[in-house]
Amino acid sequence: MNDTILEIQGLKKHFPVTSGVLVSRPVGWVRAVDDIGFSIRKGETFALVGESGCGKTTTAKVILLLERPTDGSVKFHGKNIYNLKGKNLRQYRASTQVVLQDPSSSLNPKMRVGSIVAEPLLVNNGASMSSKAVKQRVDEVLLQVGLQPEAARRFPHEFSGGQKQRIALARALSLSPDLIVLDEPVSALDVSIRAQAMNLFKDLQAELGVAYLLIAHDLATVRYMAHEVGVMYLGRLAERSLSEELFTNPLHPYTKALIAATLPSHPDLISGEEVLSGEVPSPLNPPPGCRFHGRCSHVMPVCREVDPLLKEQAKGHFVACHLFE
Amino acid sequence: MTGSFLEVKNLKTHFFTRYGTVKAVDGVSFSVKRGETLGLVGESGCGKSITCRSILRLVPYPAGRIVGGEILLEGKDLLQMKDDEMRKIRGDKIAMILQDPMTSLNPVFRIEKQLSEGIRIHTHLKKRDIWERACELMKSVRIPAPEMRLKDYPHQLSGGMRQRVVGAIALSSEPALLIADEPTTSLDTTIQAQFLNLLLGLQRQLGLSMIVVTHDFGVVARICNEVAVMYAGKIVEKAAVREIFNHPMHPYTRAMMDAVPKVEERVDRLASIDGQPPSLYSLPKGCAFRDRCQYVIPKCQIEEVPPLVETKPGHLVRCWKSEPNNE
Repeated sequence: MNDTILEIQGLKKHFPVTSGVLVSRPVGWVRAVDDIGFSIRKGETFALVGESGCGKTTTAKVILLLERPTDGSVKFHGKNIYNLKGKNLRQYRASTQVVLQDPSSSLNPKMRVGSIVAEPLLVNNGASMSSKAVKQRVDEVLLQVGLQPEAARRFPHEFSGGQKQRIALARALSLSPDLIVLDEPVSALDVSIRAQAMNLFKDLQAELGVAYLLIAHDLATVRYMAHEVGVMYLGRLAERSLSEELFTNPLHPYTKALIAATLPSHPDLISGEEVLSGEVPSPLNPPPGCRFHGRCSHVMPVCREVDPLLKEQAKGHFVACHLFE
Repeated sequence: MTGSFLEVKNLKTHFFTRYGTVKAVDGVSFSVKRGETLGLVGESGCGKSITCRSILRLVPYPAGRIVGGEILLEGKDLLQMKDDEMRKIRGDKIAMILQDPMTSLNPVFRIEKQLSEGIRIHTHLKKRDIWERACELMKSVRIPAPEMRLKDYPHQLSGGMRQRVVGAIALSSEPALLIADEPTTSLDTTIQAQFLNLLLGLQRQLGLSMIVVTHDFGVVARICNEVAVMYAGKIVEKAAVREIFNHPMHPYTRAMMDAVPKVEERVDRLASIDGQPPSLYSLPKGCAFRDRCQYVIPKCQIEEVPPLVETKPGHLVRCWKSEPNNE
């Protein structure tokens, strides 16, 4: 497909667990991300959902070049980002930006908002941009996220949580990126402010054609924001599908359990589905066979032995589960 | 009312600062029936947490003071009690769970020590029995291998596990009322569902009354029997849970519900409440919500605060529009 901007294939990231004081040697591997693949199209949102510790954030870090993958490839406009050098590498870094969960800790409290938003411009364009042009661009993005240009003179603590998240988004937008990673962008905000923030993300996407990689654990947020969803469990994709297909026809027992655990919007809609018990097992020693079998209500003998593969069940709907083989 | 275990009448908690008086809680009344759950809902800064702290008389002194009202626990007014009587109520009859389990557990003590402290203070058990009771409590909040976990430090437990330990501490003295202030906000979706189910189960088993503070109507839908929506220090709507979901009357309640994305159906555009809650230093006269309200009518501009009117049995609303002659 032509409008694919990011393509991830067979991505693996294993962290060594070392022991020894003077000479440390690996005694085991945490398989944080273990063979996942998906692609993100221009102007669309791909959401990664799952519980804490399932590898969502590690995947994002690999894409942002903050971690080197153990194996696999990440292709940006068809070029593997790990082979980029010099100018092309800088260009890639400029075109992928990130907005993190807690805006109070992702904005430097000692910098004025104007300098925070201008920083990516100065770092990436060096001396080639006049200070007037920088100022103009800062005003422009502040307006885009619904803040007044006067905000540039103030400090982050003078703003509320929702406004701080807008500043973080303005910083991400300043270089007109192709892709923004949104790592739990609204979970630190109040419900009423959440709606404002999510609407802003959607409006800017429609206006600027930017793609998002959304990382979230709340499925209601995902259903509202995403075009395509990947459900992650212990470093693997359990299910991947277009958003509406996933929510109207969830196949994997884990996806169903996640949907059941999401808070209902009406007391009559409390689902009878059993709430998932226990927590995600340690990725240090993932169980053999299907990684979910210890918590699955449909477990079969084959699940304990054979690792299921991600297979296409309907058009564009992939599931890794023995129930569908 | 029969069967109401806690009754709060016209509670007023004000903060006296050098910039002026902040009426954080301004004439709040509600009651909690035995074995039922009341949800206190509202945005940050609407006074819901201060209401809860007032019930335990833990308002930061000297800036904050309870200046009026009554808090009746089984008919006795907590505000008239002496400090040592109040000490016996706290933890013993009323217990509290806070939002962030990492900050409400002491990082340098083992779970065992933190859990047995409450048991030691409120009961006269021997050391050996205290340990057994601690194990029992850990089991009741469904922590596997409690004997092992008691020796752990808080950082060795996951977030959901820590919140359950906080729950176990709160339950250690068999309280009759549990106040949970945003108990699940910092937890994952699945862990949140587990913890809410746990609270429901314990409530059924022990006949607990609960007050749950939240900004999320999803939590309300899952565990509450009655709901009070607060805005700028006042209750703006109060009703039974199904009634409020089926017929929300106050524009603020409606706006809060519409702002929540739904997992059950596709929503193309969420309604958001524009603007911020008003500063409590300079509340506008009249209805505090009028500047953000979509349905504002001329009467909202007058200086009088709309009264809390019972529009249907048990359904109270503070809005000029819900008065019958204004429809």
